Amino acid sequence: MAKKKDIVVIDDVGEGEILEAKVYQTQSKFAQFMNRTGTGWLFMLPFLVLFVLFSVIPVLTSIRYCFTYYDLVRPAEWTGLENYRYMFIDDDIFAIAFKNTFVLAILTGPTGYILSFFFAWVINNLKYKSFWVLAFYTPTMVSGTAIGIIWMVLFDGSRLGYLNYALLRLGLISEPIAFTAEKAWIVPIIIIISLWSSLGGNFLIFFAGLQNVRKELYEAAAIDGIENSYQELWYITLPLMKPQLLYTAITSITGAFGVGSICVTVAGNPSPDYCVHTLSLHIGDYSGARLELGYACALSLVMFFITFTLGKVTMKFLSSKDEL
Amino acid sequence: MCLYLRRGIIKQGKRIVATLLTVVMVVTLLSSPAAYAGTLEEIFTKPGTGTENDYDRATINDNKYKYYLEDPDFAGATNYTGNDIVLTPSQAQCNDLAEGSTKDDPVYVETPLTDENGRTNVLNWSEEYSGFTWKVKIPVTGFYSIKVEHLSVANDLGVAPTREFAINGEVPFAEAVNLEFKKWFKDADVPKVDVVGDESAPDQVEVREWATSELRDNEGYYMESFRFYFEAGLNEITFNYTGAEMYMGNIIICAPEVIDDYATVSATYPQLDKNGADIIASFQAEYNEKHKELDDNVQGWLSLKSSNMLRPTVSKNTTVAPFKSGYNIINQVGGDTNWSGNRESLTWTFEVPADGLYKIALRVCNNLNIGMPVHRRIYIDGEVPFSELIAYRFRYDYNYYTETLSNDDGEAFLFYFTAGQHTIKLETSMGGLGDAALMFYTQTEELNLLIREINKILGDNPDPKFNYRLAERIPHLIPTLEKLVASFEELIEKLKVVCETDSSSLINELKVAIDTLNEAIDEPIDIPNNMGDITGIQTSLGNWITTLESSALMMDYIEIGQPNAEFKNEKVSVWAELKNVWDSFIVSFSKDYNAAYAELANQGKDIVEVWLSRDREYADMMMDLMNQEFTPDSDYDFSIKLRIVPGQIGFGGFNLLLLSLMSHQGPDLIWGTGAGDVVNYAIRGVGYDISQFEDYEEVASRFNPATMIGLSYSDNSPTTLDGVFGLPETSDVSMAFYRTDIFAELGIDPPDTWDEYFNEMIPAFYQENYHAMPSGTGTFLTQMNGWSWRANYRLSGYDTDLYLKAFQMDVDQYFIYGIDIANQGFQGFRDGDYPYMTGSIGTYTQLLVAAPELLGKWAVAPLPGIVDELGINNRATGGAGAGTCVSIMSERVNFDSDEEYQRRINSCWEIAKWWTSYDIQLEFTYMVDAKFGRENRWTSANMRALVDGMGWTPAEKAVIDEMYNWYIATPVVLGSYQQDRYAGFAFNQVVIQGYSVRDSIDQMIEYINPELVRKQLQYDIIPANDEEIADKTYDVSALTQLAYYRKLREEALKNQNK
Repeated sequence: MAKKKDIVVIDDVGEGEILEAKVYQTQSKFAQFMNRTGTGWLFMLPFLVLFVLFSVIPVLTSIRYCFTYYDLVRPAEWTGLENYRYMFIDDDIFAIAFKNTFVLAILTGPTGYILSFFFAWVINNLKYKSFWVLAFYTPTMVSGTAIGIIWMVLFDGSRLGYLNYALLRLGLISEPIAFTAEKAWIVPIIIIISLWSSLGGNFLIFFAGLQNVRKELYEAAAIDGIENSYQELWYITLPLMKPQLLYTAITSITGAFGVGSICVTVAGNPSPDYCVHTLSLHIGDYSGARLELGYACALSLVMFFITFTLGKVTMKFLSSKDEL
Repeated sequence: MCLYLRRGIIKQGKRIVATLLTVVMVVTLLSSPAAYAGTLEEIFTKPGTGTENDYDRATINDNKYKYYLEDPDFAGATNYTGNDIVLTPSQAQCNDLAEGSTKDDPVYVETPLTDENGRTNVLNWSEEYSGFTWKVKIPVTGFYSIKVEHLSVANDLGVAPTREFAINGEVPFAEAVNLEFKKWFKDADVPKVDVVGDESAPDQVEVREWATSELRDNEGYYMESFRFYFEAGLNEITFNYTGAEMYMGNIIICAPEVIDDYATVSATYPQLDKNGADIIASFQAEYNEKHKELDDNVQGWLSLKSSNMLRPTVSKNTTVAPFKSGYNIINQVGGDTNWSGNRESLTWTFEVPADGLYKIALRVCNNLNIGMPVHRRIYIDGEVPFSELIAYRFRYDYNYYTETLSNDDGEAFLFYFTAGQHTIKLETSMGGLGDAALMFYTQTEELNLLIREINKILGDNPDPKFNYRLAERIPHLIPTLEKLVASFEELIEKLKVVCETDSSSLINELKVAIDTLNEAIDEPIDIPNNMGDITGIQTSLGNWITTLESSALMMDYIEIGQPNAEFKNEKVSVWAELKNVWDSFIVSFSKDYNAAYAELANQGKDIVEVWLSRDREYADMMMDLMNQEFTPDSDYDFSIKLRIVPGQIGFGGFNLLLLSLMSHQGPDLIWGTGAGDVVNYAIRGVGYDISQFEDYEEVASRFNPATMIGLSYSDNSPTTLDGVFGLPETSDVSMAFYRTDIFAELGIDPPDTWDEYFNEMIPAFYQENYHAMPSGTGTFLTQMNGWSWRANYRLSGYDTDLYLKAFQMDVDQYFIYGIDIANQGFQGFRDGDYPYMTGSIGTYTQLLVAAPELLGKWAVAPLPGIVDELGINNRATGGAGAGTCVSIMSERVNFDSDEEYQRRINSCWEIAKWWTSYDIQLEFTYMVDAKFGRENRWTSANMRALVDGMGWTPAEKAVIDEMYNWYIATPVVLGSYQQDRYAGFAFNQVVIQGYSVRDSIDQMIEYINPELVRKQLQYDIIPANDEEIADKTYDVSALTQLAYYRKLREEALKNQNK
């Protein structure tokens, strides 16, 4: 009752100052907080519950397990920093995986990012946009099976693989090339496939962003002296698309670091000489095949910090120019 | 500046394009075959001096019955028309007692039968008698039919007896090698209903009655029964045992059957009123005698079937009655592997109220092979009444339709029935398609020979720019191709008539084949480029034979009516379909499948929770078996709760089992998991050592001893874990397959040793442009008596000299013997490019079922081996050995007392023993056969059940026995994945990247041993010491693993000492 009365009094313009102070006194800090933001929390509740249950708690648990030896069946055994010692000193494959992840991420992440923006921008200026959008987005929808069917048939190592067959028939090679077994071929193939399959998602977001830029701005800019579409892009489109650019950059980075399944499809698990063994595959190796969950947790945490830091850096970089 | 640059680029671009175009043109000109042909041909080939046609092309397939009749020796012979000649069993002479027979008198055995009629003077023909011969005086030279009286032996098995037939010591044609004498079955009960409301097919019981069967082909290729040519005078006929015991009565040599046409037969009908319009009988095809007993209004029922596989089935078509949305209701007969070939027949008995003329309508569905008709031979009261019913055609239609038996003009046939019970029997027949399929056989064979001849010249990787002058080097190339085109065209015409359509997918495929062959005829120079298409024809023809042989027909009900009766022809209504989809969707929410399997749990006994990793169809069959055994009133003091968790009980990766073990809510018994998985769980503390049971030795003797090694584990750790952790369910074994036709042509035998393989077979292959497949380091290593581990499984054996030798041998296959790394396996074998391959029992059934055109052209052989210093040919191999197993998973922490725990463990043991026993495994083998067809054979780990269930010939059995002796199991070793991985890397490094063998091995050891040690420390095992690491001799070798090899060596040593 008191609350209600207080609020009524607040509305009273005449003695506002004093009564307001009174209101803050009668309510606890928490109640005030809830009063202002309660509805918001209510709306966030379903997400929060799920987020805490399935994201926060698991991350915290994995922090605990990363100091143990744990095979899921027997109880976890405290081993201190042993997992980290092994990771940085004894585990040669970790170094290889770390290197491979960076190489693949640097080659696919930014390239894919720039390419998808480029295509979105080009297609936005084309006719029959929806057709092109569909064409570009399709690989993302079908990627899983398509990788298996299209790409693996294309790069099959026997004489009957499409590429081998074509090359043999053209007389360019005399023996079939084992595309998926030769180290020199595996990396380029994986880059091509992951570019192909990742292009669509980012492309769609960029495309949506481009659609959002208001036409009037271009008109206004033209009056203000902008000469060509490159200037339009640089001075209007890009700054207006900052939210999309940021979001996509972060997802590209996490995506590029999580690359793994394509490597398995192409080169098998493990790939010859671990040539495309990535961090996420390394984690899978220890958690799945070797059932060493403690070490797998330690690896995941390291990977988590790497992507987190890179995400932060990107955010800093893209947010620096701030508003238009 | 910019402008200038751009112009420059354009200029340069133009120049580049022009250069490119020139280059392309020059290359095209140079590379066209004609440009080469004139200059190089003389160096390489002189016209006419290529390979000669060394096959006797006339012998192609002429041993089939079709060609037997065309034998010129029989010209002018006519059908015998006289009286029957009856041969009794007492006139028979036993040729020979089978090896190991206990009978001392090799003559006929007079066995009074105890069950029906007390009939005497019959042959009680068990496998101990290999054959019987009769002498018979034939009155006139001509064609005769032969009938045999037979009765099956009561053994409840689905396998029908088979015999070989010979005249004067010679098998007249290929089909007579294996003549089947059907056994008869019927449904034991109405369909079973489970907890969720789904029905399943009733059990089958054998009907044992004397039957008189004509000798006919097993598959239904021919519409007539066999006619045998006999010369007048004294002849000998012989039956030889090929499978399953039977009683044999008289043999009747008689005149070939003549069946009149409808016009003739109907003229003999009594003059009766044809105006009635009543339907006098209407009954569901799936009804059996029990339905009749339960409901007197049932007017007809399924009384006899020719195999226990012909169980009634479920249709989800809304017009099929009875029907219930969302539930499996038994409502039809027939299915894709059920009543679809092998002259399988179903007989219905029905009641006719009064004498009269009637017509018959069948509610059927033929929609499994698009555009293809199916045929049935229709018997009324045991006889085909008129010739139109010899192979009655049912047209293709996606939906069910009512077929009134009628002539081509749609005029219904009338049948004369007297009042009382009558039978109608429908037997699968290939009808006109049989002839087409026979043509296929000849054509594929012809094409196969031609392809082999061409490949001999072209090799595996022909140069597309070289003129091989094929037409001149194979003089009959063009004529044969033209002959094939002509025969394909003839076939199309035949098929158009049989299928009543101008464009079924088969006809279209044949048209494509004709185009391909015509291209080859017009441009023989292009054949090297089109070999893929040409071999493709052969494969697709082979596949079509399988399709043609399958004549599946589903039947919903049968109606019998007076001449003017109108039979309903219900059509599928869209609304009914939509309602069905919706209702099924609703039902799916309330249907709990796992409840169906938990049924056995409601008995108030101790509940054993069993997790089964198989599909529902398998689970249903297992459930059937369990329901019979673990009944509430059985002696077992436990009941079973079954849970179906396909793919959820393996090891490695997260699955239901692993997660439930984490929270101690795991099952008591897992069923259908891999052998290695079970041991891996045991290493981590979940599992029970079954070798503790008193009767373990007895149970283990059911299996190949090596299979048990894969399920055992032992280590030397302080916490010694030593035991056996499961019983195997399925097993497999490696063996070799070779093309008998090609080996005969090359004049070589399948190799016994790798030495023969590389130095005799491969050179012979390469001379004729055939290819060989590679083997692996593992096989070579075990055959050299090496082993992958040393120092009590704590160190890798890959740093020993033997491994180096085996690895070198593996690598040499590619570098010295030129074997392709990637090869085409099964398809290559089928095409004849790779006449020798290694495979497993799975390959065996695949060849049997999926490659019918190869029947009789391949055989199995034991794998090649390496001869040791005592002269023993060591064929030891791992490979395809591991199958699935049953394993006890109860955890002690879940029980209050040791007694309770032990009791549960004992219950699990009972289930495991029951499941792996001979009877159950054999029965299950047959059930799987019946449900999924032969290609999905259950390869039981129970050796007796495996041998009895597979129906192997003695020669095949010998090979498989031998290979089982040599089967060497790979035990689970901690960290062995590291070894597999690096062995793969080393192979890749050497064979693909060209590293040296020694370097790769040295490098790989650096990574393997530390990982083994790390893993051992995790499980409290003391790693090998420096001394053991330095000592690179084997303390564990293939020798100690393989009892069979030990035995052979002991014998050899003994002989040496003598």
